[in-house]
Amino acid sequence: MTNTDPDKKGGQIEVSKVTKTYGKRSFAKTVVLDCSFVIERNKLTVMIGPSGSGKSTMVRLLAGFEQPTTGSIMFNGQPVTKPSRERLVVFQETALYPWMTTYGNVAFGPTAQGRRGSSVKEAATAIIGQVGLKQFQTAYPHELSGGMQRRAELARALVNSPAVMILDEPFRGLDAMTKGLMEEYYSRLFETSGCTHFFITTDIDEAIYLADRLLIMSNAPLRVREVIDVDLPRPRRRADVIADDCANDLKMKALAILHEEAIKSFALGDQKAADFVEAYSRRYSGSRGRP
Amino acid sequence: MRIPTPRALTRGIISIAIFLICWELGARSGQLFGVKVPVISAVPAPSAVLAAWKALLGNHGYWQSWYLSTLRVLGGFGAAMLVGIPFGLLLALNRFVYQIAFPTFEVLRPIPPLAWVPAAILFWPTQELSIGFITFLGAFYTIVINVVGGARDLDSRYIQSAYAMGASRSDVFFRIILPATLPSIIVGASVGMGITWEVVVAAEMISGGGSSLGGAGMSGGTGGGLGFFIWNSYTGGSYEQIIVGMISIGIAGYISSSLIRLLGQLLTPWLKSR
Repeated sequence: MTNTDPDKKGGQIEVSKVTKTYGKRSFAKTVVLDCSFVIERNKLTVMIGPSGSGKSTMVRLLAGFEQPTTGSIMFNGQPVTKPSRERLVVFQETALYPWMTTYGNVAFGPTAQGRRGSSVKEAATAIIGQVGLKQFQTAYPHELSGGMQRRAELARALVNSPAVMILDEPFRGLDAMTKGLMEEYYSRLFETSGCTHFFITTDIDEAIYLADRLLIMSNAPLRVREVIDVDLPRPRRRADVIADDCANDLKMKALAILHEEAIKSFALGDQKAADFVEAYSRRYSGSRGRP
Repeated sequence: MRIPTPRALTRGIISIAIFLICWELGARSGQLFGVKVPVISAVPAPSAVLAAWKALLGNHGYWQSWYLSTLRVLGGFGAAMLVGIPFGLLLALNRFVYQIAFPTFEVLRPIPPLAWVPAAILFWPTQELSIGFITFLGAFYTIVINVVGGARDLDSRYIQSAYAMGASRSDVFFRIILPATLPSIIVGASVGMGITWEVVVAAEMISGGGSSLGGAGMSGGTGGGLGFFIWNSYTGGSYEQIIVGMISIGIAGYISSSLIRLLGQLLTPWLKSR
């Protein structure tokens, strides 16, 4: 990657006892409840949980767009109080600026930081080439396919050499084929990027394939239900991961926890959890039935 | 601007031709068929209008009317853009300004510009300023509403990601908020331009078109703008010239809207082929 300074590489985020509540008194709604976990330096931490469980809220807290109600978030030992280019977010669905070309989008960060001239051009062009969009430098986002948009977005974040990349369900909404390719592509990108990644998903296969460490979250309010280390060798190939017994055991374990979590919420009369139970139990039994 | 295909162009010409033929036949129905088609037979035929128009082409007063109306439209519209865009952005971006100013704005907005005519004539020192003010109002509300809507609809992730990447407040304003609002500004401008033409003509008719600029001449008004030209033709009994004035306004409005659309497309290349 363009980032060659070893001191700048990576970053560690420590989340301790974070609770986030919106609204006041009787309108109060707790979205994140007493969450503690560590996003380890230069590792890929994946957070998995059902939709609507408050994962995106956690993203906004980690990025510094919002502050926790109680608890603390420390980035390399310093409290997170505002957004910083050390911690960049790749959002669900594209958040590329529609009025800028691919090049304009990627060069936005460097120029906003006051860099001018050929250094910006070199850095932006190099990253665009790296994500395979050289021919699409002058294209506007709506002229790119879904997969290209995600790659452009990865490039826009990476060009700033962040210490931590936060990806909020970045491949959601892509068709299965493109999604698979993007996961493999992203996995290689992570292996060469040499920085910390935090990846959010609802897809267990995606989670196991990508993760160094898996955080399994509860239904809303968001709590850490289980932490699983995924000790699969890198670089990973999808075929290897699918065939790997260890990976499949981890997947079963994770699904069991997610299922149990859903049943618990379901028993409490949560309508969302009902859908969750249905979707996951179908999946769970389906996967178990496979030879 | 999109260039029409030959087929679309042909159909456009056919559309106008059919309209003119029906009009001509209707207007001459008394002579041709011995039965007068109601209403249309009272309107001068297009051939007569064309003849009157031809006679007017060398008339200084006619072109003076064009010039004056265009000037008023540009003045009112330009002022509305100049005041409306910053005001709209301020309303959208500053909650305090919004809460203080928007209720008043919303009470004034439904008042049609033409309802302002008597008050404008009374309170502005010259006729020209009253017409200018009314023209301004016609475009102002539309522009402001569109700018406010566009800027408030802005996806907050754009702003968050810009700040995260190290953008300053002015960066966010000029490189995010302004371009994101630009399509709405252009919509406001093109709608506002249409309203401006409607309003300027009516204002000229009602206010007498600036009597200081020249009295009524029999050959079709001498210098009060196209609205006054029509009114003057009416009082002078030249029905063909009324129609000439009306069509002139149609053409002027069409040219203005086309120019705005063209400019809009040049300014927002990313919306092309959406």
